[in-house]
Order: sequence, then C-alpha cells, then structure tokens
Amino acid sequence: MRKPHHPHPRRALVLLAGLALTACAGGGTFDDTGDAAGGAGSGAGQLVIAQSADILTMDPHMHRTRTTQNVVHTVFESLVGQDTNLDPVPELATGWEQADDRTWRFHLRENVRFHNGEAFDAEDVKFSIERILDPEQASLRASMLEVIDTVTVEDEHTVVITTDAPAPTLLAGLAVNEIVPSEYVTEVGDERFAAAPVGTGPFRFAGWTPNESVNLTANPDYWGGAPSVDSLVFRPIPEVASRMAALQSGDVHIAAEIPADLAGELGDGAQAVGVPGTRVFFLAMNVTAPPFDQHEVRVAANRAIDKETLANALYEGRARALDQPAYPEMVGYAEDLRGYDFDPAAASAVLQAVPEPVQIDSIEATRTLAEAVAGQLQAAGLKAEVTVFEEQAFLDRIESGASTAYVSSWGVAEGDADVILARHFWSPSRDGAFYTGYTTARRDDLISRGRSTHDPQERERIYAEAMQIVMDDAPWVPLLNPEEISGVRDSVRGWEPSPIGRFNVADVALESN
Amino acid sequence: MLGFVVRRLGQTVLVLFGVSIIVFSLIHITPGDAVDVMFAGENVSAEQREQYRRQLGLDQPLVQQYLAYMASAAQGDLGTSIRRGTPVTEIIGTTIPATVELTLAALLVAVVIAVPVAVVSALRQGSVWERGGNLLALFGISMPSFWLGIMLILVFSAGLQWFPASGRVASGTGLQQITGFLLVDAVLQGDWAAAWSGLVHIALPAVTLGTAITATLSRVLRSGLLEVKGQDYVEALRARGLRFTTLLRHMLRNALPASVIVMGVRIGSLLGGAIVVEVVFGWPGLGRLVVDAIQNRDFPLVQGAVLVLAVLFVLVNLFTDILQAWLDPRVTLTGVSR
Repeated sequence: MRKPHHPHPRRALVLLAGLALTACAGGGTFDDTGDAAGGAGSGAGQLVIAQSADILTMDPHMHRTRTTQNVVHTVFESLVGQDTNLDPVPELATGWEQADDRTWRFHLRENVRFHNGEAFDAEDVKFSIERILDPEQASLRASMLEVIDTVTVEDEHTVVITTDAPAPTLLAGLAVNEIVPSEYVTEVGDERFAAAPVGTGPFRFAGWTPNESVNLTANPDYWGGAPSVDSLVFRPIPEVASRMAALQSGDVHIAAEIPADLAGELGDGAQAVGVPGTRVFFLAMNVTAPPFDQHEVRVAANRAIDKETLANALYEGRARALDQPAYPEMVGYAEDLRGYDFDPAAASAVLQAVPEPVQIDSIEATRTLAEAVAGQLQAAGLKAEVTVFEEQAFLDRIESGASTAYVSSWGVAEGDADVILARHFWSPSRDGAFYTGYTTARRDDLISRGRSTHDPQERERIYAEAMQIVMDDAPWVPLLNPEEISGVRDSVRGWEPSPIGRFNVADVALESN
Repeated sequence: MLGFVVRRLGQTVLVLFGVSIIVFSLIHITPGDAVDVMFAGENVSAEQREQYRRQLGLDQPLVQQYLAYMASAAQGDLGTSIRRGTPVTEIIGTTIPATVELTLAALLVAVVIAVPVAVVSALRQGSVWERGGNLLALFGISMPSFWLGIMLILVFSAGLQWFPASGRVASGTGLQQITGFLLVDAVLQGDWAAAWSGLVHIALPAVTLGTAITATLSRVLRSGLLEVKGQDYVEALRARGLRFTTLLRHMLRNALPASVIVMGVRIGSLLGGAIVVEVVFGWPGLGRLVVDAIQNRDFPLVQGAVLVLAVLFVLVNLFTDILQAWLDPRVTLTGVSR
C-alpha cells in the first residue's frame, strides 16, 4: 500500500478505540447499590461523604491510613469505642475489668451477628487480635497491639487479654483495631475477604469502584438499631476546591478535611463544622547544638512565639494555642502547668545576642506554619530561616540529629499523653532517633512509671510532673492543635464530627430539601 | 511502507527496553533503602521490613531482580501493591478505560472546536474572526489546566450547578461493567440515564483537558491551510467553480498530515495532562492512580503505573508515525525506506 487514494483519518480513530478496548477486559459493575439513579440530591436516603483519598483495602487489618479506617469502621467495629472526648466506651464489648495490672477481662455483646449471619463471639476477638499480631500476616497495625501477650477465650462471651507489661494504653489500641469474622476469613482467605468483607457494623459492604466510590447499604439487623439512611457512599475527591464544590452543588452531603482558611467560603446550604483535632504541632530544638544548647535561648524562643496570632492568621481561629505538648482532652494533660507567656521584650533581650543564623527544617505540609514561626523569631532578633525538605530527607535529618530546629506535628488519636511523651522524650522508645537529643533520667523514670501505672489519678499526677519537666527544660515550643473541619449540608441531621475524623453515621438522617 | 513499519517497531522495542530499565531502577535510585523510604515515619518493625524486602525481591542480586521483574511483567504480572495487597495489573486495569475515555473525549472536544476555528481564521485572514481565533488559541495555550479546571468547577458546578464537580457517573446507577468504558457500557445496556450521567460528568474534564490541545491543533491546522490556500490546485478548483465545502475538503486533506503528527505528540502529553485533570475532577483514571501511589509510597504500584503510561505513550507515538506515513507517502520515501 504505497499510496492510498483516500486516506480516512476516521478509520484510524476507530482502530485506536478498538485497540484500547481490547487492552482491558471488564468485570464487576460501576457500582453495586442498584437503587435509583442520581446524585446525593435525588437518591432517597442515600448519604454521600467525600474524603480526600480513596480506601486502600477493605481488610481492616491490612492498612494504616485514616481515610481507609473511616470507611472500614462503618462496616466493622472494635471491642472498644471512643467518645468525642476520646474516652473509651463500650462497642462490641459491653464492659471490662482488670484482674490485675496485666490481665484484662472483656465481656462481649451478645446476639450480635456478622453480615453473613455468622455469630460474633470470643473466638472472633481472639482470631482478630492474633491475626494482627501474626508476623506472617505482616499487618501494619501490629505495633499498635504489640503489648498484648495472650488472648484467651474464657467462654463464648468473655475474653481475657494479658499483656507483657502493664498497659494503660491497651483500650486506646483496641479502639482502632476492628474485629473480623474468624470462620469466614479462614474459609475464604485474605484476598476474597478483602473483596467481600463482612463485619458487625451499621453498614454492609456493597461494592468498591477504586478511585470512584465505596458503596454501603444499611444493615437492618444492626444491634444498635438500623441506620436512618438506606445507603452510604464514600467518594474520594482529592482536590479541596472540587470537594467543596461537590458539597455546594449537593453532590455530597459531608465533605471532610476542609482547610480552616476556606471554611468561611462554604456558602448557602452547607456549613463548616469543627471539632478539636488530635494533632499537636510544635517547634523542636536540638539541645546539643548552638544556639539551642543554651537553656535561656530555648526559653526565649518559647516567649517569642505568639500562638494566638498563629491560630488566628493561619487557621482563622480554628486552632488552640498549646502551652504543653498535649491538648486538653488528652489523658495526662496538666491543668495547672505553667507554660510560657508571649513576651517579646524578654525574648528579644536574649535572642538578639545569638550570633549564628538558625535553620528551621520543615516539610512542605508544614511550610506555612514554619515560615510564620520563623517570622516571629526573626521579629525577636533571631536570624531564623526555613528550609523545606522532602519527607524522607526531613526524617533522616531529625532522626540523625543533623537538624538544629524543626517544625513538625504528631497525631495522638489515642488521646493519651504517653503516645507523645514516650515517643519524643523517653530515651528507650526513641528507637535510635535523635530528635532534640534531650534526655534526663528523672523524666525517663517518670514516663516509665506512667506506662506501668494503672491508677488514673496516679498517672495524671506522673504525667503532669513529666510535662512540667519538659516545659521547664524547654526542648520544644508547643504550638497549636488545629480543629478537624468538615463541610456539612443543612439537610444532614444528627451528625457530629469526631476528633479522630471518624464518621459515626448510624444515627444520621437526611431531610429532603 | 512495510519496511518502515518494521523498522519503526524495532525502534519501539529498543525504547521500551530503555523504559523498562528506568522503571525498574526507580526503586534502586531512590536515596536510602526502598523499604525504609516506603515506611518512613511509620511504626513498622525491623522483621516486618525484612519481610517486605523479601516480598519485593530486594535481597536478590540486581540483574536477577531485573530479569525476574521483566519476566513477570511480560506475563502481565507487575507485582503486588504494598498498600492494597492486590495485584498491580488488576488495579491499573480498572483505571485505563477511564483515562482512555477522558483522552478521547478531550480529543473530540479539541477537534470540534479547532477545525472551525482554523478554517475561519485561515480563510478570513486579517478579519476579526482571525484575531478572535488567535486570542482563543493564546488563551488555551497559556492557561494551566488545574486553574481552568477549578474555574469551570466554580462556575458550572458550584455556581450554576449544571455539571457535577467530580466523579465519573452518579452513584446508584447499577450499571454493569462490560468493557469498562462507561459510555459504551451504558449504550450497550440501553441505560440512557447512566449514559447521560456519564456525559455530564465527562464534560468539564474533557473541556479542561481538550482546551490546551485545541489551541495547538487550531494553530497548526491554520498554518497548514494557509500553505495550501495559495497553491495552484486550489486556484484551479476554485476556478472550476466547485462548491466551498468540496474545496475545503481538498484543502483539509492536504493540510492534515502535519496536524496528525502534532496530535500524536499531544496525545502523549494528554496522558501527562490527564494526571492534573484527573486529580482536580476526581476522575478515577491512571493519572490519579500514579499520584495516589506516589503519595502512599507504594513502589510496586508506581513502577507498574509508570511502565504502563510509558508503554501507552510509546505506542501512541508509533501509531501516529505509521498513520502519518500512510497519510503522506513522502515520509516513507525520505525517512527510512531507502
């Protein structure tokens, strides 16, 4: 065919489409809910929630991301729940008591069934915890429960958990790990379980179209009563402007992760709802390198930062200024602690005398905050500059001790001060990470005691003392605890945001508007 | 012609070999240990990391790793996603129809807008039409697609509420997946509600993605038309009193080859542009998968997705070259045949 007389580009297009068609064979459905067509507005009783990312899997034990758990936790449940103050409340366990400081007995809810009809009992609890801890399973969640030694079935509705050491944070760990049906998982295997998961939760899994939607239907037999809505859809919308637009146009009812500076722009038909979050932002200072090896310089840095201004300017007031490395709902938050007040005069008296420039390390996500902090330090006379690193490079710097100072954050969804104190200020658990290089025997000892004490009042007292030591020695400038903000349409009734981002939608109703 | 195709195929194989080496190296040229990078800042024990290293074959010699990777890749096995625990090929397979659908829709938008604009601005040189066309082209080329996308969302979704802001189809259609191409499937099943929903969902992303190539295409087509406009055969045809549409058909056919080449190259860049547009519009395609995989530091998935994108790119270019040779025989003569 040396010279075609009538070339037809159209033919080429058809061919191209054909090629593409053969490249991918289909399977499944676009979605499986099967009820009336239409968006959030028209589907009767269909609640649509938009998050920033898709789920990674429906297997509750094989991921470690919050967006995944938010979805998973509407289908599955844990032994213990958390209320809005992050206190443990009954979920699949109706109650628990401690036989001694390493032995816990859990009484399980009776007459609960998984969505496939399998009865929920003590074997499922044992199976689930052991599945997470099984090295062969390689669950990313294993470290959350590593304190557990044995799980014993006492009778059908009683489970005894023993721990290697006293474990005051056991309940917090159990709250974020869901129970799966032992017989079903054993029978079908991991892969098919992830494809067709069954839990005990208020919603049943109906289908997942990756990057498009997860479809769930109400579980009419839910032990807590059938949900008010017929179906629940989770949609991943990564771009925040699109997420907000989808909310404004009524395509979705709840849009999660709305940045504070955009919360005011939701407009008619929807409003921003905030709840105190669980993330603590801080400026960390390397106590072994100049200028922060000087205690007075670290204290001056604490006095130089005006946290209220940061909260107002960067978060529209939707953040709390912190005077210690903890937020008020946390177990171990010290009510009477004296932090440092904003005192620019006292700060600049010290900081102006610091000869060397200071580099503040940050990652892209905290850049704005880091720059604002650096600006305030500059105003007080310190030559502070922000350098932004790629995440891995940033971690290498702070873990090796190469960093002089850095702005970062630590999420404490467990609501226990131990999570932050033990990780950052307790030598044994830093795992070779340098961070600020700050250690004192007294505080190490306190944290060790806090970890092994069960008496809540005694723990509060121990952590309060540890907090006071940390604030006196001042390796950190605790900064802010921002709110979690969601956009919610006015038609949504009975929904409260959760501090850990969960969607507790069992009681949510939709009003036609 | 056949010799040209064979020669061109040979080049493609070479390019694909190079691509495969680069994709394979991704996991090794990253500074630091790949598994440590993947789980940076996460509480993953040393034993678990060791297990992931074994799973990824990182404990094997490099050459052996490459051969094993390519051997399985040739059989359509690109490994297992670290974060999702499902085969990479399967995950990518579900996203390709969405991306191809979006690319074709963008192409359609581009052609529908660019051809009339090019014709008018070529034939009415110096008129207000031409200046308008130029302005439109400049606008299209200069506008970043993420900005245009968000503007369209703000105006047409949030404001006028004519089009949905994101997604591929309204939830709850219950449409069965046959080919994976939503519009095709909807038509095959006679589900007109789903087809309509698919159309309104694809409109804004297709316009956003299509705008950039509309500009390029209309410029190239216009200069092609200008070139043939002054040629003798056009004068001759005109002198014979042919109808305008017939005349235009002859002109377009001769102005086409250059445009096809440009389009071919642009389809390649469309795949790249699709990444941005897919993220903005929450479109469940390959581009968004790459972004997700990078954010989750899921190396096997990144590798697989980049490999598939590169192969698509190379194949589109190959296809364009062959098409070009077919449309314009001079290419084979001057190019390779002799």
